[in-house]
Amino acid sequence: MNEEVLLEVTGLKKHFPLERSFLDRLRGKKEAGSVHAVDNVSFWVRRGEILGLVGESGSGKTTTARLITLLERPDSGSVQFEGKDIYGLSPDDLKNFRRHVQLVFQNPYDSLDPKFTIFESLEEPLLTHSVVRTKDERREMVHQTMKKVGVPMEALNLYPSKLSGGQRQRIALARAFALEPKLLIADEPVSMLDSSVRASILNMLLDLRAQSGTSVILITHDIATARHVCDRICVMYMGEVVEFAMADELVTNPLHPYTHALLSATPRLDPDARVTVELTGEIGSAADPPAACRLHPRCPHAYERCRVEEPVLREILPGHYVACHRSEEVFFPKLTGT
Amino acid sequence: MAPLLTVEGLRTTYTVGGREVTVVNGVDFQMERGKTFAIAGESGCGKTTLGLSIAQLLPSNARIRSGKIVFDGVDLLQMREDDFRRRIRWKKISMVFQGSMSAFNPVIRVGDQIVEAITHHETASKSAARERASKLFSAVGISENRLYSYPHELSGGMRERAMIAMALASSPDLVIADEPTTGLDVLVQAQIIGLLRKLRDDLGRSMILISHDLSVVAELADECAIMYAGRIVEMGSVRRIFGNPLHPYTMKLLGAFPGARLEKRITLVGIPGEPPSFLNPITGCRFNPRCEHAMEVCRREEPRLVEFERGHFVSCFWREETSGGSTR
Repeated sequence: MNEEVLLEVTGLKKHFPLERSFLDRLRGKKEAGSVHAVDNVSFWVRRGEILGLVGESGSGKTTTARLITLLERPDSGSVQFEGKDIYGLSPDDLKNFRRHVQLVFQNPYDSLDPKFTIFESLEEPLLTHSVVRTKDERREMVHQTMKKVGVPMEALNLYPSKLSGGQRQRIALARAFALEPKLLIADEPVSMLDSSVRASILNMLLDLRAQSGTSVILITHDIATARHVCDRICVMYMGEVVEFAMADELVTNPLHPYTHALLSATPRLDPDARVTVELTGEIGSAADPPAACRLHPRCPHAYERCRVEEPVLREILPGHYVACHRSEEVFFPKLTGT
Repeated sequence: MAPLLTVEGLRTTYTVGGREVTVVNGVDFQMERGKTFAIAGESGCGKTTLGLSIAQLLPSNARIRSGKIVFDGVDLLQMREDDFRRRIRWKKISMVFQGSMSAFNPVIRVGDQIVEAITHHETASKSAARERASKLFSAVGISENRLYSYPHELSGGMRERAMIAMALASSPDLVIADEPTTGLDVLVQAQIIGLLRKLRDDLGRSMILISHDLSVVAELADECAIMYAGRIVEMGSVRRIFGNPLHPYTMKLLGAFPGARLEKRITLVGIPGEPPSFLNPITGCRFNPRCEHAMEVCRREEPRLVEFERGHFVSCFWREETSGGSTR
């Protein structure tokens, strides 16, 4: 893996304003508030690495992906891709950016046009970005792609509806990789697939990364999947990054109560293992997030400071970033075994 | 003690576009009282249809073609429909459905729905039913004032709890839970797992758990049947099945699952191909096109579920032939 940073996200923030209800307007309420989708999010992706963005629903991981791919504009913060701010790109740079940053969705129907045959779907990006000139060359490239992802050639003349979910997701990934992008963002790419098919798709992602050196941001709710596929993991809670570290380190030595709870709540395949619930209640409303540390109403370790002062993401061990006031106190005794 | 439920040679079909397709194809199993029996498999393996067959809640285009479902000594398939509705449904067998949002009526308060369910099936007064509803709510860990909420006002986890409360309303002998944690976030899922475990351990409830998620099965079940393309391919205690799987499909499925061990990074190994469609049934063993051990006979004949070790059943020619060898 390369140490060079490909994408750097700094202080990204996006709030979605809420509509005032009719009653609120009658009552003369001025502000409806807003959903704090992403708040002060910072992380980076190195060249060739797979970064897992892990969190429950409503943690802001998809909004983060939409901000990075210019589907949304942030309220503040910056995203640097190869050293350039993506929100101020020139038209030429923008076209280049769109070629080199690809997005794959959870539902492969969202990535494939139902009225295009598989061949047309795979040919389209080659045409848009005029990668190769002649029809024969394009045909050749499409055939090679099909071989790479292991979908039979007969599928080329079919429409997406004729393929199984797994095959569709293979095609969607193939399409995204056809232009050899520098960064692929995959939003829950396997959560709609059967478990026997999931592993094959994840392995395909690993293979394609190995061949092309593409960096990947894998968005998933499942920390177990992220653990086995990603190099590094960034855990989000209510729009904020709470922990960011190498996958091995994060899973074996979690330093944030939320990550710890997530790991203890993840069922294993072992009939003798038992999940435990370390946090009380449920994730609150993003329209009215708790003040200071957003986890404090649910956290067993919360004390006065957590209610008044927002913890910032800090490097607590080399390469291991945590946003918690009490990480050392709570987790370091376990570390040294005392 | 006699088993609570015995299913024998059950075959359930659907009529799709004028064609009759077999979705549950000769299923046999027994379950004991006070245990959780899991039916695990991928989408389209027939596990939900099996659950609906037992609860007699099949859609109108489905038909049970043959077999027996003996519950507490009575063959449910020999019962008249109104008899079943009066004596068994809800009181003896209830079901928790997948997708708790669609299981509730969105314009009626959840408390009223539970009260209605109780008064509809029993001769209980409204106030007695309401009292029972609030007891049920506290048993599943929701505050009683939530009885006055509409379904959309509850979070996913609370709705799931309310569903479970409703299924327990008439103290049934058997609860069939179809994917009770699917679609919930991990932390909420862990809470629901804890609740379901409590129902078994503290209240001695019998439960059929239908799930595609092997890790949830490992957490909750005592016994487990692995289904593939309408048939049970392996069955036994969860310890046996997860510790020493016998069928190539089970072995592969466990290897494809990310939850095995988080401490160490492992390479997940997928199963080539995809589960077959009921519209194009496969001759021989249903798994043979995806199986690395497939032999000539697997393509020709269908294996039967046989007791390979005491209490551990498998349907596989390869396993029968290599019996006695290492199983991993």
